[in-house]
Amino acid sequence: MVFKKIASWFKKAENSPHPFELPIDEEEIFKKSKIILQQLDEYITASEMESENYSIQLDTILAEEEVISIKLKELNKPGSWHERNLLLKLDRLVLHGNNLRQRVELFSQNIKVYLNLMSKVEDIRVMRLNGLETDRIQNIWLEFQHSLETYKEKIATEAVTETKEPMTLGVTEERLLKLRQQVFGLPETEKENLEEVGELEKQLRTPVPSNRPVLEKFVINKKLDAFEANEDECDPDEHLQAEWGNSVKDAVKQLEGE
Amino acid sequence: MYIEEGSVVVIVDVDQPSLSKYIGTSWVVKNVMNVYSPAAALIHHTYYGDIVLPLRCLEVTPPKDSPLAHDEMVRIIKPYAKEIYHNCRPELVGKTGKVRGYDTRNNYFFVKATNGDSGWFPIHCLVPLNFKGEKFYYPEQDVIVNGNKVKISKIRSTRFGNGQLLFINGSWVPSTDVSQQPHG
Repeated sequence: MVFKKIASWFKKAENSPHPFELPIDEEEIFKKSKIILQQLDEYITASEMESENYSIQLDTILAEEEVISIKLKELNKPGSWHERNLLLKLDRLVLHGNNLRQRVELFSQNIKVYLNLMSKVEDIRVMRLNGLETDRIQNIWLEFQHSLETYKEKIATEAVTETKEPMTLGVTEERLLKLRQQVFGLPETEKENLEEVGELEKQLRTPVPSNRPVLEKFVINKKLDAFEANEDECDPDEHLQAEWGNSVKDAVKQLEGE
Repeated sequence: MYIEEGSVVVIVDVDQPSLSKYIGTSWVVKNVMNVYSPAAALIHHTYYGDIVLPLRCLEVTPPKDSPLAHDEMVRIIKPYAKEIYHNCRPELVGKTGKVRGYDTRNNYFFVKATNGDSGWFPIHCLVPLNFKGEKFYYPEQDVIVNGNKVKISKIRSTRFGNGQLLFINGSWVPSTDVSQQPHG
């Protein structure tokens, strides 16, 4: 969004009756530099205002993040939907906060570039007043144009490469887990043992309601039928499969009993 | 001068010598005590704390996004019709002076001319002397943006005084992006 805005500023500047191009006449340089100074000054002030607004928003978001962290600690219901909802909200706030932070930094970069450009234009004006040779003034003017072109290219490249973060379920789960660990401050040593981490993930993962025993029974029956059909062809060494079959049978009996 | 709670004021005079070090500093008005004689205000500063000073010792500064700053040099360019709070002093038209006060009720500026006279003026009667831009725009003025005629709601000066930002349709637009409406 920011890139597009900045790009539109440049587009406007190019389409306006006072584009950033090298005038031939010396008087023209002096006159045009005044207008460019005005444009750059206005862009600086506009960027500063936008940056200030985003910073205020960012502070609000950070405060909200803090409140949610406290709520999560107070709730203390690991794996509940309430906790998941709070974690999801925290995740969204973190994403929004990161975007805003990036925007504030971008505006700061822009302001720096504009200030540099302004100083170059002011140099030209001062030299003109000092009666300096036109060649040298034109050299500075070319430098100014070069900096501007480099900056425009940079903005264009960044605008193209600006991508959205993938929002797959696995990534979300990982991020939520990480957020939770940040809030509750789980020790890093626990992560070393993979089995323990797996158990921990299972515990923290929000359970999905499974009130569909009929469907489960159907699936198990299907597996059982498939196993019985192939039982005669089984190798005696494949005792593992037999064990699996017994466990499935037990599960069916248990379901029927229920 | 009208002073209300929350206004930012500058101390221009003191009634006690011990407070003279605060002259020229900005304070926020916490409370106005009109029943006092003379009327006074309780003002607050982040580092210096709270003090009470008579209202005559204080000057209200324009807000941060105002087109004119406190103590800024201006020229009075035209008179205005009588207003509910202030009367125009047409003899000041054409004179230069400094902004030495602000009325939050109607956004008028108190201008002290170089000859010692003073009066209240709205922004459209003033022009800042340090403005370096091509054209100074005023609130309520009609301009053309992208071929459409629009009205300026608010104006704001830029950081280095080279231009202006104009508040049009809910956003700040650089003055170099607008064109003046043709006369007639």
